[in-house]
Amino acid sequence: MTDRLTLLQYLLLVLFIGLGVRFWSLQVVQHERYLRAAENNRIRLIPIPAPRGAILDRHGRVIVDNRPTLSIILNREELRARGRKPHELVEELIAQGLALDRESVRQRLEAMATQPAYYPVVLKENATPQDVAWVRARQIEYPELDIMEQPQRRYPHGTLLAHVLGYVGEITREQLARPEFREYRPGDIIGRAGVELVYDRWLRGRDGYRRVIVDSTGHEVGEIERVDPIPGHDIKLTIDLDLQRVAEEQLGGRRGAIVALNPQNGEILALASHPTFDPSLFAQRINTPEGRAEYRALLADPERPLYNRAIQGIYPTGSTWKIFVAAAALEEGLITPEHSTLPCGRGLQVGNRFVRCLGSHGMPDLHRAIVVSCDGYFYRLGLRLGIDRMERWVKRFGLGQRTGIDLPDEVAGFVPSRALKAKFNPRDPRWRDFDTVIASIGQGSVAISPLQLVRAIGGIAVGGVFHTPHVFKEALGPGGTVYTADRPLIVPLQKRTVEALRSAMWGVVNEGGGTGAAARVEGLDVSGKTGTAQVVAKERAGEAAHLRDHAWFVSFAPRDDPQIAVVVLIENVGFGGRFSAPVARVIYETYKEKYVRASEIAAVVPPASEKPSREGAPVVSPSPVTLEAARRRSPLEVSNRR
Amino acid sequence: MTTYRQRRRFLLDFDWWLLGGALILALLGVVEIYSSQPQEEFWKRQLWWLGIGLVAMFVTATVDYHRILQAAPFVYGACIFLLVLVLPFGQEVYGTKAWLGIGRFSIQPSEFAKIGTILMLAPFLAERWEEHRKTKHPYLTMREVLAALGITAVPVLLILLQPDVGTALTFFPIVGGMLFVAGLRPRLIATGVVGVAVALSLGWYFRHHVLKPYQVQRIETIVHPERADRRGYGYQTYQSMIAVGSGGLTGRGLFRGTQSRLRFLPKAYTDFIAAVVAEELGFLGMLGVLALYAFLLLRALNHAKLARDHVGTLLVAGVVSLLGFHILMNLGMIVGLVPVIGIPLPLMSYGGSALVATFIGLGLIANVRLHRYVN
Repeated sequence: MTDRLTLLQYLLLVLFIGLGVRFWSLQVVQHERYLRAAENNRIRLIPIPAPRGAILDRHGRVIVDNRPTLSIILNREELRARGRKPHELVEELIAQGLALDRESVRQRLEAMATQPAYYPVVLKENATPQDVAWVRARQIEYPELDIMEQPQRRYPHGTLLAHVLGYVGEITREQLARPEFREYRPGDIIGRAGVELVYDRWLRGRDGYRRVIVDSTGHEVGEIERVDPIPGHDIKLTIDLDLQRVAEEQLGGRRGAIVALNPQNGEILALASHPTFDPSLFAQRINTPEGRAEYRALLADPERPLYNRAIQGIYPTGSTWKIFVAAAALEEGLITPEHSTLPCGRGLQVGNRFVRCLGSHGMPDLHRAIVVSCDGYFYRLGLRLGIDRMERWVKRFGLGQRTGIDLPDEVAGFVPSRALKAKFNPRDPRWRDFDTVIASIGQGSVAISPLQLVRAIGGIAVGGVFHTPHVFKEALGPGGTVYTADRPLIVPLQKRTVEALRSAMWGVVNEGGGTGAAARVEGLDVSGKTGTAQVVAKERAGEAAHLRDHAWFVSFAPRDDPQIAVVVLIENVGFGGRFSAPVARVIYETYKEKYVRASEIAAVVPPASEKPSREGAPVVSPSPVTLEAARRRSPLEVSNRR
Repeated sequence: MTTYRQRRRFLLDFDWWLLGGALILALLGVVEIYSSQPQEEFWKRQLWWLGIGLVAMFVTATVDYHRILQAAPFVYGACIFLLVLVLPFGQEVYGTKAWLGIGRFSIQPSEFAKIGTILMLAPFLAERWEEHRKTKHPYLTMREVLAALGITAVPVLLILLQPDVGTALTFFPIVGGMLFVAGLRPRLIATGVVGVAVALSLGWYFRHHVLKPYQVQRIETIVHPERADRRGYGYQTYQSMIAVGSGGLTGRGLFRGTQSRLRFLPKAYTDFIAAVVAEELGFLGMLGVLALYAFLLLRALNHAKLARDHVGTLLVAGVVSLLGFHILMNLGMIVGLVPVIGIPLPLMSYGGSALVATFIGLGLIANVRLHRYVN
């Protein structure tokens, strides 16, 4: 068959000659045409930034979304092909009348130096119609300029919820150097604080791009490839916009924080901190000289508007602490709800010092002592309990620890203990009875955040389950998720302890002589505790505004089946009962108007009956909420139901 | 145990022309890979693979090919094993799981499976050829043809699972070429040609049912270049033709091709490497490349005629069919005569497995020549 091999040789030869002819035809005969095509060949990559997911409140109302903006971008490849340097061009553009910010352009060019040249550099975002017209009119002179659409964060409610939302900004160079930001490139918008930061992976989408061919004058003649962006997930928060708005209005111009949450599952309904800031600064104006000045002013402001007082501010608790001392004493069996009287004695002699009570309360029982906030009673109860048991119990309630809220940079604070004193007071490291007495009423070495306080009080009110406070409800859309990070602390409290404390706190608001009467809401059974935290010792305080007491009011409602817990802290105003309790009342009124009727309707079809209880027993429990009932409502199971 | 005379004979008789031609093409490939991807490390890696390929060629050339053929079932089996392994463990690139990662390197088992299939087919067909030689009609029976197709079908099916249609396609010229040489009945050849033509026409008629939309577009680009969507799937072909055409008679100069360096040309360092050569070295350079490839293939077929036995002939025929098909299809793709099907250019395209496999194939050719005398 060797003739067949020869045949193959001829076949190959013919095919190769054929190829040669084709090459001749393309390269020699049609050379001119293809050379021109090659010279006109210019490709650009125009990114299509993915819109970030919107942030919605628990009822789906928009809190943050995006608005379309235009950016002027520079194609560096084109520029290089024309033999020009970016910095010269920028100077020339400014001289020609295009308003560019030298500083941010310089930073961008530097940052983009590591990126392939076909990737454009943003010269100016938020381009005005005049800017766009300017660029379009000079397409011939400056073919390297282009216009790109870029969605930008929009805050229809202004500063509302700023501390929870956080803000976005361009990724920093330090972040880019870290491995977890591998997929990001310079100029990417990333969450820098708050929900925007914590849930960045959900909110951010995936940028798309268009690859287009342009002719030598920069005119787009065709699209080679288009990869559509994948928008980020919309996120639904647990926040209720109405409650949030009321909370912020109630703080008014005063420094302080308000948190309202559902103690049954940890969902935060409102979280306000004042003074506040405008998140649109970071999204829209930060690359302008005015924006940078605004930012510097924010950082320099002594009142620290960027700081979220609800989770980062730590304060002495004042008398709200008495609830924890009482809970510990009841659980330890030092007193019982029936046998709990102790003298007030207008105060207590400790060593050579007399520690005063603000009133003369005779021989109150626990209930009365809480209602009138008798210090003398708690000095004595605290001494019986002792610092070690006090420390153990408050820590079980989650005080002095981070709550695990899904917001960044939460502060842990601290609670009184022997170790703490030894560490911070080296000249007198020994724990003394005086320290215990002071600690019993929430003064001295205690500093916790408003969030910790409301979580602890709410947790006691629902029977000893301290859910993880959170603002994230769900990420919507395909591949979404719900909140699953609840890791409740469970401290099984006796039913009678819980009832005694609930009843006492109800008395604070609803009984004669109660310090929290200003929080009373008809038909809601608000229960709470006031607190007035000394900033410095009374003798030195005087009238200086920044040394006045912090006003606390921590509360929940309704008494027998707590659905909402609210803490109000106002800095340097005075008595909690006078300043903070009325604020809480307005929040409860709003809540009642909005939810109580709705939940009465919902009560016709009790949600618990959808699912057998874990114990297998039918859920018929008209009695006050027990530990099991509280567990039943944990959001873990709520989320299982969906 | 090699004696002085054996070594001397090897040095004198080794096909240095074959090696020289291949080496020039491979080195030109490295240069053009550097030209299209100067900042990347591709060209350095290609040089390493070239070194490995040369060693592989000498090793394959030295051991008598009959001893290599004794190991053929194991080689074939190993290739099948790797092709199976690649399905769960392979690295996915462009939607195809064709690569097995081994440390810092990754190999493409389908490239070696081509050689494995040739080694498996050659002795089988040679024996049949020998049997039929003395008969009146020295042609393969239908059953034998089907058996040969069966041997080919195993790797082809596994490669289709990756899925890599282009690579799977390259097995048919191998078996076709070897069957042709081993004695395919003329009537069967005619039937085959007609059959393929009918299948292609039917396939084209029902193209929207059997092919993916992008595949249809790639083919339509070739059939109606003037109607091709230059922004869409016609893009690769059109850009490649611009690269070739803009090269002109003498080229735009080494490292001066704008099509490849500015990345208008997709995959310039792999499948479209020849377009870079055409752009930078022009028609004259391309003529040299064509001549070298033709020289290698025709010379190899001369060795096939001189072979000591049928197995030798068939080995060479298989390798030539393999390389010839790759070269013709790839260059056809570059100049817009063949749809873009992802077939690399032997010796020049970036890709270690293909380069080493090609040198092993050349080693087999040199081997058949070295052992052409019965001693």
